[in-house]
Amino acid sequence: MTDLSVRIGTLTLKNPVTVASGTFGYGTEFADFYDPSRLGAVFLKGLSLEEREGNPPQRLVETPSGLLNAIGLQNVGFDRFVAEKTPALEGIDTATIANVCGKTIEDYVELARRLAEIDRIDAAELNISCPNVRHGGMAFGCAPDSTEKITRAVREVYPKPLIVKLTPNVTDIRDTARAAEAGGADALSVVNTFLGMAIDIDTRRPKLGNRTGGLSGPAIRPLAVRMVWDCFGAVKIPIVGQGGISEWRDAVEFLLAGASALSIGTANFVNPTAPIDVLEGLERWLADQGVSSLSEIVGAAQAG
Amino acid sequence: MIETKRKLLLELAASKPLNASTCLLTFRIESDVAASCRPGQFFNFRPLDSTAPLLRRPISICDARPDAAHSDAGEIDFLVKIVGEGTRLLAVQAPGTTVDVVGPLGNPFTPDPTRPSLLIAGGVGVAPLHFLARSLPAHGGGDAPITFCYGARTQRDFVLLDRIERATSDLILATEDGSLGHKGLVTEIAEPFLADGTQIFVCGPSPMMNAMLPLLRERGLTAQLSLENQMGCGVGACQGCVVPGRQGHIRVCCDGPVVSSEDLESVFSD
Ligand SMILES: Cc1cc2nc3c(=O)[nH]c(=O)nc-3n(C[C@H](O)[C@H](O)[C@H](O)COP(=O)(O)OP(=O)(O)OC[C@H]3O[C@@H](n4cnc5c(N)ncnc54)[C@H](O)[C@@H]3O)c2cc1C
Ligand SMILES: Cc1cc2nc3c(=O)[nH]c(=O)nc-3n(C[C@H](O)[C@H](O)[C@H](O)COP(=O)(O)O)c2cc1C
Ligand code: FES
Repeated sequence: MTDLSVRIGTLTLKNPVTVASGTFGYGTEFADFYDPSRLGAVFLKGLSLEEREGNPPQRLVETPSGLLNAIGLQNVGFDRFVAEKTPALEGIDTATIANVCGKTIEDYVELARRLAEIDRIDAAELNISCPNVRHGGMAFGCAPDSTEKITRAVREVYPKPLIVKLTPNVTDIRDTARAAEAGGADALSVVNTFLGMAIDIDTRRPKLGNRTGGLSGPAIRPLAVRMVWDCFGAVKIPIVGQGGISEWRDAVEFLLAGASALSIGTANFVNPTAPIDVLEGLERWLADQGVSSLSEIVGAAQAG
Repeated sequence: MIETKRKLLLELAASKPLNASTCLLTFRIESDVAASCRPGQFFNFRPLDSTAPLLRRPISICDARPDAAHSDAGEIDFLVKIVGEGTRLLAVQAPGTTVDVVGPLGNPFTPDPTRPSLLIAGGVGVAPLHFLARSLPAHGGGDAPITFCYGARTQRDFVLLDRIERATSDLILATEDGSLGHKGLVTEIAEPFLADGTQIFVCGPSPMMNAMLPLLRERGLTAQLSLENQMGCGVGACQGCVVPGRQGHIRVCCDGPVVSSEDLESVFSD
């Protein structure tokens, strides 16, 4: 048996297969299909201090092998999250990670400060890469200096593991990766969705209510693999790779590029047991290859 | 009763074209799953084991027939209207093929079997209302009458007329071109039946449901409406399928597809 555990700061994930923020709700929505305790971690839906309505519909558009979304971080806000959503997490025996969003640095810091008090939340993922909100979101993640500044500010108030989620909508992702590391991040999530658009030729209007959206799914996989590869060369902290992972072969590709853990996003919609299928396929492959520890293959494609 | 959502591989038992663009698919299904299906619920179909089309397609349950004697001999019907690649791929499957589905999903109709019912269907919206009519006790023969108003563009577009006739006390048709039944819209033939004490169920294209809303409001009536929208997860996790409602966004996949007309200002269409 391969040792599947992954360390992120002081947190140990039991295996590298996690589910991506915004695609797995508040952790319980897929419980009819399998026990979420089998996952390495659950990244919860993007959370802000105040409840948010999100963007007007239409919020989803299917594209070739991809999905454009403009949800706009609709969420229940911190107070209702604690009162209504965290109790159900008690039944899930794996790491649960909050996805932290805000309009200002102060919002991020305040939310992180409050989350630090919530026992059931094991870590925070700083979402400075959401393309679907007008204020905050991707604005912080597009430049290295603001990435470092916001990471450092949150780091000061948040003692648990801190993961920074990078946007691919930058010229060179290595710059923001280094900035997040310098600011004190324990890990990086690479990557969030690619800014995109689809236009209805009959109405001559953008299909999404928000006009633009974030592209995810198999369509972005080669782009995401390249970004994981680049980040692996630029930083020492572990990388949670994501972007179009649908089956175990895709997961192996991300590990070889340099990811230590993986997130399954859009594939949950296509195949509700995708994370478990990936986990089981990965376990078989690692055993067949005689790999004793996951770290042996992380970034192995970069050797020589 | 099982209320679990499942991922299933269903074997297609029969595929029957009903007109140029619509076909009736019958799958084998375990009887206990068939018995757990409620009218208004849907299954999410994966058209192809591939990435294009990527997402599942929601299709309403048109009928579910558990077999009391045989646990594996239940049947479930779906009515598929071809509007694009996903529905085309479903319609061309040959009997014997297995299709990957997730369900049953969504919030069903909640009928009161003791009250008279008015069912108002437009286009492929006939599917869930057919199942509803079939599941009401007495199949129209009892004390509580079932009136079924059904509208289409033209005569050829009507499907399942004989089945609906058997399941209801009264079937009234409307076509936009006057080729069968009343010439005009289904809302016009439904209007005289809008009465206190009658429970009303509506499923059809959004312009039709939007035309129903003021008719209901003028009379102080409410109806149960079945909504449609593009779906992501289908299980309430992504907030992708929302439509505007009076109390905020409504997730079609799990707050719906069946909602009360009171919860809507208007029916969303993209
Ligand atoms: C809860 C629910 C229940 C449904 N039940 C049924 C059912 O029982 N039978 C059935 O045939 N369909 C049903 N639908 C609609 C069905 O899901 C869509 O028609 C299907 O997803 C379209 O996929 P496609 O790949 O064929 O077309 P796409 O390529 O996705 O779309 C092709 C074209 O059709 C248009 N289109 C998309 N959705 C619809 C729609 N709902 N009606 C008309 N045009 C549309 C698109 O705007 C586009 O122009 C249901 C939808 C929902 C949400
Ligand atoms: C519908 C939807 C909602 C999302 N919501 C969030 C979110 O709230 N916070 C976040 O950091 N990422 C969000 N994402 C991005 C995913 O977490 C993931 O990084 C991205 O989709 C790439 O992975 P995938 O191709 O496997 O989906 C969302 C993605 C989708 C498709
Ligand atoms: S489709 Fe995801 S919440 Fe409805």
